Amino acid sequence: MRTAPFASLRSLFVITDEQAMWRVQTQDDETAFAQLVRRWEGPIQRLCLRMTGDLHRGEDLAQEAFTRVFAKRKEYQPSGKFSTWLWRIALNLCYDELRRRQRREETSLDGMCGEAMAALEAFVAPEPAPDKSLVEQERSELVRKALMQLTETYRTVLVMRHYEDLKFREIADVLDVPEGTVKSRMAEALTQMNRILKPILAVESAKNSMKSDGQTVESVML
Amino acid sequence: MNHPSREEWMSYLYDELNADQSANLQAHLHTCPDCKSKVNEWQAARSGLDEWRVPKRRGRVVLAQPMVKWAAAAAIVLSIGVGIGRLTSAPLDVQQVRAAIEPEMRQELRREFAQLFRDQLDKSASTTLAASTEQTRQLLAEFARAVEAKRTEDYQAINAALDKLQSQRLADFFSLKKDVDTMAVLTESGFRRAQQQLVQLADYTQPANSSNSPQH
Ligand SMILES: [Zn+2]
Repeated sequence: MRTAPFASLRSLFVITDEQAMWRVQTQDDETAFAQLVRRWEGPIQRLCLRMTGDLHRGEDLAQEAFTRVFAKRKEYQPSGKFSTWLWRIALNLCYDELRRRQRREETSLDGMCGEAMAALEAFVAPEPAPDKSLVEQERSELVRKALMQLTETYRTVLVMRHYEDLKFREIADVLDVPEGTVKSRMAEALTQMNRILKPILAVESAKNSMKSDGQTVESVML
Repeated sequence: MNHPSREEWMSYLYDELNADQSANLQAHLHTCPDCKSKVNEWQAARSGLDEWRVPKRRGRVVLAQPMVKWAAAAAIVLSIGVGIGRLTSAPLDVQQVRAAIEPEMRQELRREFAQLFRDQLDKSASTTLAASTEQTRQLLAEFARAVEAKRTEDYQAINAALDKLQSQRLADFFSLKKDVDTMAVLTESGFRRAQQQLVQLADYTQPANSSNSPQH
């Protein structure tokens, strides 16, 4: 474990996001940029993954977000919070991606293409920890699909408040809408999620309790 | 009865109220079946959301390396663009650029999917030895189709990107290329250096316990 002297010494080296970004902006400071990436790559990857429902696209988009941060470093306004700017950049990339995907689906003449992508997604997206049970994986996948049924507006607030734990105030800043709007979107989003999830998760539970009756779930699944 | 608004309930559910406000709402909940049932529904949705687990970030190199890889790929695309632009000093010939990078992309994709495929095989080998061969065969066929579809999609994306590039000017390429180059270098050396500094720092502050990794 970290010792106290180490921790306090380390805090001397910690600079705020805004200080780091200022260094990137004015001096092309490489260490500062690396620090920002390291601090934020996890949250941004998760945001993109939850917004697109796709692990690998999520990672690509997160890379692209940091690339934009660097490319647009001169546009950053030091008066604002760095994270607000970063979330906004990442969200816009997610929206672009979702729009591209929708266009592709609309223009795709070959239905197979969509099916094959779904197969690939199913193959790749869950990527569970090895000890995770199949039941949990199934339920996790159901929730992912349910969330993807919501419109972007509602999915955005759910992802940012529920999964990424941003305060309503911060979300309002990122989206540039009143805080009350974020909260009412949140209420509507939860209502819709409940409507979608209630029947399917209930059915899943019933199925699973039947499965676990007598034999193990795994052996049934195979 | 004066019901709290749904905005207030959101603040309550996500713990953004002070203790007094929170206690008031809680008290209301005990006396109002209408609000109680609404809040229960929202709570159910919240527990549902918690069931979507995503893998933990797969180590900190994950972003650093693809980032460098991505930057390198972009640099290739851009330098080809710049080269052609210089030769013709006219708008880029998209067909030419496409012909030049397609084999690269094809190979890259093939490598990526080969790796993906191997990973998946490893995983399934250890867990599903008992799985029926028929199921496996179907899965493989499906996967092969999926790979093909993904490839087509990527080409479309590349083509779209190239079409966009065509309309830009040579000057843009140079500044963008510089950014990309700088970033590729910055990211990698930055990470290495930060890591080195942490190691040195740990050695300095924990001489008695130097075997401890500073990256815990
Ligand atoms: Zn009430």
